[in-house]
Amino acid sequence: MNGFDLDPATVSNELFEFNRKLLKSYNTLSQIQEVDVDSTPYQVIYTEDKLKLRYYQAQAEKRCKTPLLICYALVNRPYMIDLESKRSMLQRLLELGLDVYLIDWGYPDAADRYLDLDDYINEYLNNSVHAVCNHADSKQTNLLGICQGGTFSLCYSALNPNMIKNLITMVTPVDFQTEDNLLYHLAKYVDADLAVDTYGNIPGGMLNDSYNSLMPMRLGIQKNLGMPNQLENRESALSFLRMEKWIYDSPDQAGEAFRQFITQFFQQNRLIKKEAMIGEKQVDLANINQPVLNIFGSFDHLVPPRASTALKEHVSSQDYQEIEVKAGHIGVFVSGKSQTQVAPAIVEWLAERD
Amino acid sequence: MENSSLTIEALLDAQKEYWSNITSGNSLKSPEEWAEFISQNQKNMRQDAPQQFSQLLDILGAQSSNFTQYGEALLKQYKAGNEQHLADAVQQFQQYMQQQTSDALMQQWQFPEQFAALFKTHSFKDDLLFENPFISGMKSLLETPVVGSNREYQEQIREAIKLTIEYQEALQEYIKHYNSINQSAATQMLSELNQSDTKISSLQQLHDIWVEAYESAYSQTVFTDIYQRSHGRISNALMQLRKFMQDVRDIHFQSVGLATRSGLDTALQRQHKLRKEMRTNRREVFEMQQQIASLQANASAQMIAELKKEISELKQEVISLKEATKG
Repeated sequence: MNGFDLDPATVSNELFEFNRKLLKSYNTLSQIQEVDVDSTPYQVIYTEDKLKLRYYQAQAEKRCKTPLLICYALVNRPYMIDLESKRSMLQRLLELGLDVYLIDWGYPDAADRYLDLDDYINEYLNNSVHAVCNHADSKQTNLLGICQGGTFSLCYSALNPNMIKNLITMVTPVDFQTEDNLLYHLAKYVDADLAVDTYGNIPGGMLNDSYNSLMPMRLGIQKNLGMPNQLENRESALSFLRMEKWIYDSPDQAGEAFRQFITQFFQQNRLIKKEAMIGEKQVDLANINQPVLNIFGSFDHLVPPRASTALKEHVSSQDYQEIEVKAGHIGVFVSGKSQTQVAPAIVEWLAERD
Repeated sequence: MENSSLTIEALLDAQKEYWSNITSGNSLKSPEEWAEFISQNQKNMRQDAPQQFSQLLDILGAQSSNFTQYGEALLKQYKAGNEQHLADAVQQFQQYMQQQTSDALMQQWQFPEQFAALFKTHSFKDDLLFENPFISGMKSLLETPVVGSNREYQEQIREAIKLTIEYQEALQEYIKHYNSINQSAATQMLSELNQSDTKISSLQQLHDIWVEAYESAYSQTVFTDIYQRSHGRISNALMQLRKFMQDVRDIHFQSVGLATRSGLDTALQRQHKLRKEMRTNRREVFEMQQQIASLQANASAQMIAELKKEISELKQEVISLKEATKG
């Protein structure tokens, strides 16, 4: 074994260092009572069932008259854009002079079992758009959709083009069946009807298992082995724990909405075929003619770049731009690049089109 | 919980000496206090730490224990020092990683809780699980004709057997893919160790090579149609089994007058439908109110315009009359 030259002294030292850090990790953890996330102050301006529409006031001279509404995905929680002060895309937007509104979908329970895409898009999202316009005294809003929230935003904008001044999609799947989309391949033969009939609402933990199965060794053993390094001191431990908290804070998915999303979007790829139905309304992406900014991650393993960039083929906007961020699905929001490049680029792009 | 730094340092030093001496042949015993100390730390943490850390602590504890045990085993192999023992050490590493992969896999695809109890005598990795007398017995039951007064009950049993067998077969097929992934990862890892220009000199590097090899082998498998079908099959088999149990539970609940899941679903579905109808109606009412307001506004505007016109005509008439009178 030419390449195998384990040195006993190195191994012995590794064991020592690993266990030293492990003990320090225990000490660090014992001193952390709370993992604080989602800490930027806000005001709730509209509620409907479990939905809360949050308003964050700009922290600098306003750059845009038109408000910005952020539509997050139903999976996981929206504080991914506000994990902690130094990794908060939301705070960067506020510091750069944007008024921001954010939809918090809440945690569906058994009573929400039959909520469908019609409820989410034609009711909740539509009502949120109108609430934002009323609150900001504006006829239109800018809309920024994240991941599945981006898909919802595309559907909404296609159905209500007059309400949206500028549209931004971030790590958003459009063509769900690209060859490199493992999530689609894994969902291909899973019976979505049976899943909903069995579970009612789809447990959030099940979705986490699916995401982890995309890179099982990296997201499993390798991450776990690196934990003592992360937990050794308080600051890095808190950063690590905030992310862990977000990853495992995964709401259950309302059964009917999940069924429709998996079958129409993943299994039948209807969005790009102009066949997606939201309630009784058919979605045609060609109705989107306002300026579009499409932001995606080069190393996104959940929504591969090609799944996002397919958008330009289907909208009729004359003003379509893309920003490729050298990051993964989450890195687009929490990385240093996101703080220094993505948020400023969004503000500039919106200000130029206000 | 704050450990005394002096105690920690002393224990760590003792443990370091133990690890350093393993390969030199000195037969130092593992300091007994160490294992106890680590175990006590974990126990204290579980008691003191917030609930949100409990899962994290479990993972951390299990992973560190595995890592340390394997590291020690590797150092002991070194005591012997020849090429064969190094090859054994690599093989042990692969087994150690494969074991962890299998554990994670089984956790994800384990039996629904109630059924798991039937199999507690056999591990999921045990061949007996697939060839055991219980399964064979169930298969033979399927061949028994369903007759008599207990026909419905017997049909349920048959359905349970059918679904269990499907689950077993799906799981068996699925596990084969993972065995193949593990095998392929092991081959890639050995190839890397044999050919690499870079010398692997630490456990961390060994782990990194394994992770690369595994992810590569995994990626080659999961993008195949045969794997995706197998993934779909085990997912569906597990759900069918779970749903069957829920349906059977509903039958029993119904028979003793308790609320059932399907009854609740029906109520929720009707409520949801009513909500939609109510929203539609509310929207229609709103639109009609706006139309009425608009019509009313139009009617008033028309009336005012007519009145204005009439007044204007009257004024004109008065002016004409005045002029005629003057004349």
